[in-house]
Amino acid sequence: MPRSFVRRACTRGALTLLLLGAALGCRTARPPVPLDGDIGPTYDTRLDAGEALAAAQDDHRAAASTGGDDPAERPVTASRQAPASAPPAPPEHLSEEELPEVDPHAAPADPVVSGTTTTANPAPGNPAAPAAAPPPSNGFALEAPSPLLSITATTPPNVAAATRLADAARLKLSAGDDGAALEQLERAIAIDSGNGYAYFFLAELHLRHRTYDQAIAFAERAAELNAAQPPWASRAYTLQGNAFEAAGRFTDARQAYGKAVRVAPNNLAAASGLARTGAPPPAAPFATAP
Amino acid sequence: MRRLLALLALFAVVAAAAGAALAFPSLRRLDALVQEKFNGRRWDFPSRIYSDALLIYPGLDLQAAGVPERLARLGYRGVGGDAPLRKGDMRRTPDGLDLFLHDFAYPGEPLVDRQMHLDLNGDVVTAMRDLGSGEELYALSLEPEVVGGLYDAAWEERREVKLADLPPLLPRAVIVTEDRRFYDHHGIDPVGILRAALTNVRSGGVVQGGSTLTQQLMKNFFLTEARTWDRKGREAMMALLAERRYDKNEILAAYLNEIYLGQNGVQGVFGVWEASQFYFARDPRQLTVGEIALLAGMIRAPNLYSPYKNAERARARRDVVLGLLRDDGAITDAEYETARAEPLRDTPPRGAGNAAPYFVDFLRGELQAAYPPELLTSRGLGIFTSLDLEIQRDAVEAVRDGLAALEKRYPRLAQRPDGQRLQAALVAVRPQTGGVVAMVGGRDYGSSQFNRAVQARRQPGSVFKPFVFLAAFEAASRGGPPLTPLTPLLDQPFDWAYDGGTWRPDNYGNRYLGEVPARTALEQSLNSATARLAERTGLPAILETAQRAGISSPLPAYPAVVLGAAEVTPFEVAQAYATIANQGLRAEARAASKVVDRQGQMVERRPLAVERAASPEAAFLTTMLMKGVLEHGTARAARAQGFTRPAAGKTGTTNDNRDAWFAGFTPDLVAVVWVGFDDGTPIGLTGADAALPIWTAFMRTATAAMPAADFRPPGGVALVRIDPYSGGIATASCTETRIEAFARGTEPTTPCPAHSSAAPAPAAP
Repeated sequence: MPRSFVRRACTRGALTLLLLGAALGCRTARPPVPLDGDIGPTYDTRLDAGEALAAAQDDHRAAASTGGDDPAERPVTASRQAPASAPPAPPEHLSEEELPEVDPHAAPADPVVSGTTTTANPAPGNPAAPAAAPPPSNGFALEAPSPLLSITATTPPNVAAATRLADAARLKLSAGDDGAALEQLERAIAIDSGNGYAYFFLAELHLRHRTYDQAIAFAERAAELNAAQPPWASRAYTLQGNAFEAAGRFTDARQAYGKAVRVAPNNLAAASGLARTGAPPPAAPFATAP
Repeated sequence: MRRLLALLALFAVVAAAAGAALAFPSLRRLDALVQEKFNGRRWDFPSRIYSDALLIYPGLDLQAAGVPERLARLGYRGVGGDAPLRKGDMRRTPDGLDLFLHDFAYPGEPLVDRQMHLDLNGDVVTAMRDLGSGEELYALSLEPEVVGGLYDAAWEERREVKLADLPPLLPRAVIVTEDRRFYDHHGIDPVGILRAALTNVRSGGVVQGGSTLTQQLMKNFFLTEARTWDRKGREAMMALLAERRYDKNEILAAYLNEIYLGQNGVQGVFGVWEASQFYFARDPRQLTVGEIALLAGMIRAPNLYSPYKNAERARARRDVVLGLLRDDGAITDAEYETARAEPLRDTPPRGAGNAAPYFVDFLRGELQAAYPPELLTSRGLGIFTSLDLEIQRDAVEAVRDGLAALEKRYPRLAQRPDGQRLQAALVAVRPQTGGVVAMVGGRDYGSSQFNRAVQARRQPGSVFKPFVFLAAFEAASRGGPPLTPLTPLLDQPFDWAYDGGTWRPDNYGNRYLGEVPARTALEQSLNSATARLAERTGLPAILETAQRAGISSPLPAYPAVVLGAAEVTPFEVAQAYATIANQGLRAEARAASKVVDRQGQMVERRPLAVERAASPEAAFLTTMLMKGVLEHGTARAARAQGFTRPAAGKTGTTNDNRDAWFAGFTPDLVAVVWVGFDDGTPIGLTGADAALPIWTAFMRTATAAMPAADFRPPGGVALVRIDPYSGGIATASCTETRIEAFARGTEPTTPCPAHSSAAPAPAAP
């Protein structure tokens, strides 16, 4: 019931309202992911049982380091630090010609409540938005068909198995079990190296863990591999835009959002991302929507 | 009378101990040593290396994936009948295969009590379900295989188990066999000593020992094999000290973890857990009565009674122990008879030694950046790797057979002194993950541990050329000189002026083709045309592209580098080619994926991580040119040898034919092969002659179980059917057409001028 209410409210809203809604968290927020995730060598995953071992490792690393006390030159083991603390540069304003065109007549997507993490709306050009802030909202993400629906009688078996694994990983991600999700996704890629869904959810996982460079790379791959499925390609570009934006790369974020809108003009999350990162909001985008 | 004898003996021992206390001023030190061993870590545990886990999924051809061989190596037994399966059993059914998987403590995902059914159509899996829950499965992970251990000086496999984790009959059998009065003595058993002495006197030789379990443990813990009175005295003293400080069960558990139980190649087998795995391929809890009796009986002389070495002796010894257990009341008469009727063992022998020694050395090097060597060899870490033992076997066979074939065909290659024989290296990597799946660093690890795959820096020759094209495509996409596969390049001698000097690239055989399309320049490995492309692209851009892709050796900035004059390792080439195969995304090539401590807790997880090194379009266009190398270029022999999958690659031959290379990939597997002599003696063969056959043999088997997928074009690439002679869009009248890849915006827009009146040919897919 609350979900359908949200859907109706959001569908009828103008972009400004959508943005406001996004800022107010008009979506299902995932529970905050504990920062002690276990997905990367950059995360210190050593448990108590391994403390002595970890200490021995640290001693070894310190001895091996040629950089003396300079932490930048030491092997990184526990650096879930945010990107550079310097505030990101404000987004550059692109000319109208550079802006992707948003189809004002496109039917708005059914604004499914999903996405990655919640955040306050980082206003365009807001250099004060710290790089360490949570990734930007996906806003009202474009609805895309379930990966499972892509499986047909003619789907190669390895592709089908990988897609099912990717979908299982999606559920793990929803449950906050990122470690298990990562395991499933890596298996999916091992079975079908061209599985766009697996790359998409890998990107989402990394966005949640603020490893933006990984999120950007995987999202791009997901978009390429899902080129034949515009909703998924568009979602992937949107996710990439989120990662760029969170990393303070606003120009890149705008371009990614622009690609998302080009692929699926009814992608509201991408449209709001465009607006956030400097593009003037398209005039009355939903005025004539059926 | 017997009691009196015991008291006298005890008195004698105590008196001896008192004397020893006076005689050994280091008694306190011995006591401290005993405590240290018991309270702290008792032994050094080598790190245990695991292969990648095989995933089974509907559609997989079990035979092509080598699953039967894997199951045999993992100790699975084929059984018949309708009896319930035990862990490690498998049974063919009319419609498929029932499989009761071994438990495995996979990090973060303990795999326990998994009883599966696989529906099969021939050898192909059509469906899978969990027989416990009835749930349908889409992917099933077999437990990984043990590749080997990271050892220090002692080559031992160990795992510590608690008494509670063992079937009660096992310690009972050991006590009955080795030290019947274990719970009655205090470390030394005077009655046992007298009994052994009497027996030995009667038989006229040493047929029975009087050492208690505690004494045996002390001997194994601390002492050498030297049979001296001094050692015997210390052993007895330490046994008394240990019994004073620790209870019987602690000592018994230590004994069961420590006892030597045979030999696996050069590795000793220590402890009942490892022995249970080695001889019976199951956990001690799964052992039968007969197997328990055999293990207990083997303690006296493990190699003499080994079921691998002498089945009859082993059977006789087992039956003796079964008799002792029955007499002791530990088993019933019925159990005794059943156990005697058991086959000695029902799994094939496990292969001894390490199947991938060069890989293990590479792994050790990779881990040493983060883990001190003593930690790797002593803390019992579990290291999960990307190694695929089936593909590794393919690699070993391809290198072995390939070198033998070369030496047979070219006998001069075999006429070399020992230690200077023809060598080869092969490294295989998954481009999407960077996981090293196979590595062969030479023809025989036993005779040379030099890992040519990662340590031999050799000139790559033309194997470097794809990076020239990659950089040129990148430059073209950023507004540099335009480049498509059809761009004409002049293949004629020229001088490249640089830094006040000049360099003139020569073609192989001094043959020049004049103006050729860029595609032909790479397919036919034309030095002059490639160098012209390099000159206009710019040396710095090419070097940077190669380094971003994965070449980590220094690349000096002189023009000959573009034709492969700078020395690199096969591993670097594999990394850099993997970047091209992965459409410009570089996944760092690595061996380890997870490290867990001895308790199975995750120490480090190395997830898939990538970095954009080249644009997807440039990487794909380069791949398409490299495909042509196999289709109609210098590596077309691969097709004649039966390797038909979509693949891309490049031959490499250096000056004077010192080094022969082939590096290539399918969408899912990159492999690089180098062939040459360590001392640089020319082999007189090209990459196509010497390295390509090995690569082809390897790829044919290694990719057999993978779906035959083609390379997928990224969004920025247009596939156009063209007339290769005119370069125009093919029409129905064109007699020869082919699909060509172009960066969007650079594709031809006009029909083939030679046949433009006809209708257009069918479009590219």
